[in-house]
Amino acid sequence: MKKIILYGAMLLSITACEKDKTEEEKKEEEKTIVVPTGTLLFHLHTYIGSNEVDAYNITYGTDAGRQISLSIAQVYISDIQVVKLDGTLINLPDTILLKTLADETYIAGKVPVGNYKGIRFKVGLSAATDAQNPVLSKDSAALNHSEMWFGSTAPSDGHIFMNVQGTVDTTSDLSESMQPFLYKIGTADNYVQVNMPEQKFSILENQAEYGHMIFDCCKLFSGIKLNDAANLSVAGKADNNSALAQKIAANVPLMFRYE
Amino acid sequence: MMKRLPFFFLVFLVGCTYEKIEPVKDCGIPATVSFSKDVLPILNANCSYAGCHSGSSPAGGFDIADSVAYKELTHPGSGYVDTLNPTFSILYAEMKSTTTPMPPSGNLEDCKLQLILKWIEQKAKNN
Repeated sequence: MKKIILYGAMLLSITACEKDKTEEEKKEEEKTIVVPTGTLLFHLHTYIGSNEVDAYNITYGTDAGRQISLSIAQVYISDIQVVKLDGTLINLPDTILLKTLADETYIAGKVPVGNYKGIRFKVGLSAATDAQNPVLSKDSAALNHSEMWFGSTAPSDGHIFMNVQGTVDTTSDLSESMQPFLYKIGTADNYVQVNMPEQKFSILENQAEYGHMIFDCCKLFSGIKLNDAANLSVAGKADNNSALAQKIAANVPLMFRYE
Repeated sequence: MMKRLPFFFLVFLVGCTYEKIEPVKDCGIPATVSFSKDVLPILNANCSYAGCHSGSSPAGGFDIADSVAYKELTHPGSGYVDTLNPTFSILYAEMKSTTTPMPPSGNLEDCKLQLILKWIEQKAKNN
């Protein structure tokens, strides 16, 4: 008899652990589960070809020998995603980064612990974010930069997604005839997706992991006839409907590569 | 046999609450970490030699040879040392990384990593 009671007690203690949970209990449990995360950061360098840009108004040569200097090179990055090894996408929707020359490190966001194979993001801002008053927005730290507005005062007339200006050798024989250029790319049509090449990385709990990338401004000019002065300026919002603006926007994914 | 059953049952229950405790290693980290005496020797031995982060063409353009190491590490905006978020410092994060560990031969011993982190936490002084 004692034997039966003891076995019964053991069986009960084991089966109690396997009790089926109701849907409500499962939902409640899901709410309280804390997924372990690490932090993904970007280390973003501004380059012209193989040369890191140390400061504005210094002339650097591209690998092809074209001379370029920058007076501003800033870009918005948003809608960041990471790709798990099985292809599942994890969104980091709340992050908006304004890449400037001076700052090279940016927090992309908290990412669940695991192994990943890719980073994706968009250059620019979503329509909803673009419509926000940059001064009053919860993202004002990133948006409240008047050099990144089409209008001169807040609320801005929309944000410039990528503002790159400077001088460039426009000659076909690279005879160093430097001319000013000004590219202010924005508007919903030029909100560009960037998918970085596959590169595996791991996120460990409570640990920082860096994605080291290069923002290469010379790629802006790919396929653009620089000896045509009309191709050196996209200055306003209206200009962003032009074929030139769309060509420059199409070059944006080429501007990013891993270090 | 019957007399032993309660004992097995007890072992079964106690087994459920077992907690693994890792031994703590005393690294003997000084109260104030010195850049020149504590941090630089670690960088010299593991990072700033020819072909890596030193010489005429340092890897990644990141030169931490003795004469320029402090300036390079603390260059504003570079992120190599972040005294506000010490664990986000690239110097420390890359040494902890399993994806791109620095040095590439493998992560440094935990005590060396703790030493570097403490130096950053102590505001990364040029001491």
